[in-house]
Amino acid sequence: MPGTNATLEALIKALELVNAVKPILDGALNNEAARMGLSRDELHALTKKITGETDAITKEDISDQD
Amino acid sequence: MKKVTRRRGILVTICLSLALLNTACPLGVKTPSDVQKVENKLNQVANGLNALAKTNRELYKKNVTNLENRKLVASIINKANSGLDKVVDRVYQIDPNNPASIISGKFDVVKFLNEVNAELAKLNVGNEQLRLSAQAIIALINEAIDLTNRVKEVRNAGN
Repeated sequence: MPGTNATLEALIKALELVNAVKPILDGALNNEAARMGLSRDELHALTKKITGETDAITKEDISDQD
Repeated sequence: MKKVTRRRGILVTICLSLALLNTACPLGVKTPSDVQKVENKLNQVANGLNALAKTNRELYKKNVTNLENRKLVASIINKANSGLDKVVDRVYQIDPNNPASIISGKFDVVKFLNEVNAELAKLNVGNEQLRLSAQAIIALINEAIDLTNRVKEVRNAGN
């Protein structure tokens, strides 16, 4: 059936894309345990730690001369 | 004998009621306030951006992207992350028991989050994985904006 290959290809592409986004969603959602029961102060400190790490990684990448 | 049985019955009923209540509403665990829900969502966004920064690095190491694109993407993530950092501090300043604090805080937070979104929307270097990942984070930011708009401007909104 001519349409089947096209459908399968589209499905494979969709799965590849889901797989591509998975690290982002894992990073965002799998820290639920870390957030449970934290006070506002604790959560603020945790989030600041993460943004601090991201800042360091990106600054390093920007200045990298390879 | 009857008195003892009756007393024991009352005790069992009380214990069972407490156990049931503890299951439905666990003692010592507070329901997050409106502001805390925003803070939880911002934590997700922060983790998402962190993962995006690491993905950008990984793609370069695997020769999927070149140095120029790596720097460009890193620059966009860095600006978006700085914006997010500003939002995190601004939300932290909100006093949930002060209506004026909530109103001004909501305005600033939504404004800053829209700026973060605008920065991430620039991420279009021809790599589908990076582009979609940025879109996923934009979706999380939109959820944060929605949660912020829902923060109730009433006294004792919880801390």
